[in-house]
Amino acid sequence: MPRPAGSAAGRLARKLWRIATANITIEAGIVLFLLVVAVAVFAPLIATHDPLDQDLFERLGTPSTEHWLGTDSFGRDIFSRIVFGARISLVIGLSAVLTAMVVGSFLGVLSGYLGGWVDQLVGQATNILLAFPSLILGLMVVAFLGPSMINLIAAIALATVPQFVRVARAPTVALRDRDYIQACRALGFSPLRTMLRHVLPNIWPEILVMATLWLATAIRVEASLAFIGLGVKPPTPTWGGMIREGFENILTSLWLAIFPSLAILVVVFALNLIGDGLRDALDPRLRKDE
Amino acid sequence: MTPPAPRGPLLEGFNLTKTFEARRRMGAPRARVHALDDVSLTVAYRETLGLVGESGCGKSTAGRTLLRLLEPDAGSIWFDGEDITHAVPRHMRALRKRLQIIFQDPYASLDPRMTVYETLAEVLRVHNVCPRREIPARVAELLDTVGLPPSAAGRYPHAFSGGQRQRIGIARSLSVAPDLIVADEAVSALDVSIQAQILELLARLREKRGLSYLFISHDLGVVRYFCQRAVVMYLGRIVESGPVAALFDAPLHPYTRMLRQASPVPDPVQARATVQVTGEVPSPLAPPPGCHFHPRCPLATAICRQERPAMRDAGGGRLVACHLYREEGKEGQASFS
Repeated sequence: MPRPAGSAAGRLARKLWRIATANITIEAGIVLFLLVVAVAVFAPLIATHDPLDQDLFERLGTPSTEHWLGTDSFGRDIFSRIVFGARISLVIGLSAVLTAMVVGSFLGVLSGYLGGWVDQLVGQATNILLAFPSLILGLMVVAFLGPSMINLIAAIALATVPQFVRVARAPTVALRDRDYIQACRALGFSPLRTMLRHVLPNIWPEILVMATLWLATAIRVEASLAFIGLGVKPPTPTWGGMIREGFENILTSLWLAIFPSLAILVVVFALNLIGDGLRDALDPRLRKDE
Repeated sequence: MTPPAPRGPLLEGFNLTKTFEARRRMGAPRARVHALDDVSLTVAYRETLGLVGESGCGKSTAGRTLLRLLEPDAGSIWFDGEDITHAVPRHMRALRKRLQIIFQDPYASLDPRMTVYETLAEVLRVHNVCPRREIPARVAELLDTVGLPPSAAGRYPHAFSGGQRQRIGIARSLSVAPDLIVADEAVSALDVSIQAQILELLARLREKRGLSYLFISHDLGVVRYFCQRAVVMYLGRIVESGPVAALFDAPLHPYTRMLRQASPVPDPVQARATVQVTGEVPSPLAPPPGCHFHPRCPLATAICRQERPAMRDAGGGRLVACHLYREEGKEGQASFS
């Protein structure tokens, strides 16, 4: 059947929609994740209190109609802090993973397509980074550069880059000797054009799956860094930082640590649902594309 | 079907050698496959040169090396009087406007994620073949040239049959208006009836555009029909070359004879092969010494096992690399008939 060429963006949107609705796992994950995103975006409307407002008469308050999830040791509203904390988690997580995805995928495709010394160099650098657990690597970078938003993003991105290098390189190597990639050389296309226009569009499903799974990890790493005191500086509410503060009163006020933990759990769970669902939807290659 | 007479060389390979490193087992010495062993061949202007041989003999490697899709280990490549063996990438990319390839597998040679229009338009844009606004018209013209309807432009490769895809591949090669096309088993993957159509298309393009072809095939019948001259390869070496009629009607090399007798004859009354193809092709990892063909050759003598036969002029534009060939050239043939 004839199919209109359509714009590249239109086709990508349609393809994304088809993948997003491929199975119930993905749908559930996406709905849950979008809910969290909505909370972060509309935080000022959703929060019942100013997250920084201290009320020394209401310290360590139990959940009530006034403070839905109680108050912390400075009398700040936990619910409002969790709502605003979503912004930090998402901004850092998304920025870090997006950076890592762009840089890592490019390096992976470059290394797989060109081979030779480029491949050696990228491969060795990747192995060195992979030798460190992402938390340790993030910790070292933040300890070195100091805990600011940008440094946190850089640290988590650096720890995540090797994953994207690997996931982009393997299918590129497999594609390199396929006739239609060889045809690009025969047609006199530059290596850059071949990689961006012909290799990348054929391997991005793997990269997308990786991105959702590592977004969950990035958010966890950010929370972990905040927990050990290397997160965005207080009094800015971060989930990891709230757990740390709650930890100091864990015996008397359990909810202080529980509620922000639950927030992290929800986000990570949502992203893992999407990632696993995507892997199922894309892996068997049941359908010929388009 | 008689194109104008060839004049002068267009694409030449001199003493090309190409080896590939074989997968190494732990501790085993480094093994090399000799895909091309001192191969020289010439495609003249407006000539169609056939390159035949069994699979694995290095014909595809020869084609891709001549296009510098693979780099030769030794030897040189000349195109239109210019040494392109070491042409820098930028210059090579420009040369690719004049040197094209058609691949064997029409299912693997097109990007599955691009419509026919996008595939063709990209080539036109990259090489600035025509002003941007003329691209749609140019694409339609290309489709028409290869016998596809304009509606094909909006579709993806998977919507087409093998023959149609091969037409798209041909259109893509033609988009840059090349002088020479390497057809790497371009019709081997197609049904016989489709083969004829594609060959007819290639022949028409040859006449209209004055194209030269390096036509790589294992099908002697197709080569005989389509080419003016042919080169026969065996285990990385050229064993014989010459005009197709003489080459296949009165082969000088025992291997060419064996190939010819193994290829199916359409007329059942005509005598079947008196000599069957015997033996397997030896491993290219460890080709036999002397003449590579001696283990399978019914006429092999002591010298064949020791010395590589030199390429000798057999007159009438023919070359043969066989110790047994004498100027009269009748000795070997006698034992076959």
